[in-house]
Amino acid sequence: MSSPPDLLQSQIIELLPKLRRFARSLTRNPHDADDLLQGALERALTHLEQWQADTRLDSWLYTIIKHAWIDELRSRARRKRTFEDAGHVEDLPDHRGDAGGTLSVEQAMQCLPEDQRLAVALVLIEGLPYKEAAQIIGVPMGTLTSRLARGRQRLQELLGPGDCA
Amino acid sequence: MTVSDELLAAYVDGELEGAERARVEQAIAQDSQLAQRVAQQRALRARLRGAYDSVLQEAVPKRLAQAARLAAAPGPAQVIDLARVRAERARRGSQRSVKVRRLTIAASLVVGVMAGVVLQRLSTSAALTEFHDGSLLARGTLARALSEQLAGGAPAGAEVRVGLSFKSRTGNYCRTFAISGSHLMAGLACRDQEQWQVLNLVGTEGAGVPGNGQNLRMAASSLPPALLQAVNERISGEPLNAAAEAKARNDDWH
Repeated sequence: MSSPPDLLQSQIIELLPKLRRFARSLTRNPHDADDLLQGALERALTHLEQWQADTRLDSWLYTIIKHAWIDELRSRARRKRTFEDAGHVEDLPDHRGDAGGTLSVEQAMQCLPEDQRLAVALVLIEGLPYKEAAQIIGVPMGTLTSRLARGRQRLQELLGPGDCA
Repeated sequence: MTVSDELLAAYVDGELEGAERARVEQAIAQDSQLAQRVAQQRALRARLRGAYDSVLQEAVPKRLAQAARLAAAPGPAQVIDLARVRAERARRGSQRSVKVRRLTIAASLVVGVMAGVVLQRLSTSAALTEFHDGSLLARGTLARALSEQLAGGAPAGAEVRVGLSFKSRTGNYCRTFAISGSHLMAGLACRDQEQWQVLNLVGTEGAGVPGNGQNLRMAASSLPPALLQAVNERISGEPLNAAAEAKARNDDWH
């Protein structure tokens, strides 16, 4: 099976709002999210040959976004180490919401460990089946469901009164 | 029946089917605490969705739409890669790697059909097209025909014959064309910033090429399938009739 480029193009363009939502749920702010997605689309260009026309295009693109995000986190960690070595401390986002110490959903998502956030984003926000989500993250189903369970529990706690700590 | 957190989550996430699903539903119906846990999980899902769904309503920034277009239609680099890969493959004979196979798939995505023919033809008709910033632009006879020729109005022996014209969903004009020569090609070009951008180019084998018949304007059924699909993807409404086509030309395809 193959698709003409125009078909592929219109499919990717149709997916953009969903891809932006996914990127938004991973990153700290809208601008970072769009940067992440743009970088991922540029990667898609050079890895087009890896897409098999009989697999879900959205899953393939989610996977690329995930890879781009993990790379971004690694380079952030490197930068952070560099700053810390130089005696600087990176500004941390304020995780406290306005209403009586309760976190917003976005803030609560930021409190989750990366692996749980990815699972939550793919299943609870993007609405993907477990199987697809596990494939995208690259873990067995059991790992996905346990990350999802921990992520859910953490979010329930965070979205009640309290903060990250 | 005891329902574990994990099973409950699977239920809320729509992962259960058939008997298993029915059993959980029955348990929920009989146990108000369980029903409350389900409600909590549903509320969490709804709250997460609610927080991020607004993104779907936002206008997609231009830079992303542009990146998506490039991602899907990478242009010359991929096509040239294919040529290299093919040469490589011919040299290596039977050592056909997975990578080659993948690239071949990619190439079929990029140029539709008969990539080899298109490449060969492209290299011999350089004067008709030019790659510019990743776009294939019409030049020379092709550009002139697209700007000036009316469907069915090609002079005898013309190298380029324009087929149907239409307005795209994004509001610019597009036209199909056929190029004659040792290998026939058909394509679709759309107006973009005072130029004709060639979006599709497919090799054909003579039959069913727009440009061979007289009544071309509405003869969408005679387009090669890949091209027909490209037209269907873009067209807004019906193809232009003769009057609309002439008017569009007189307005310089604005």
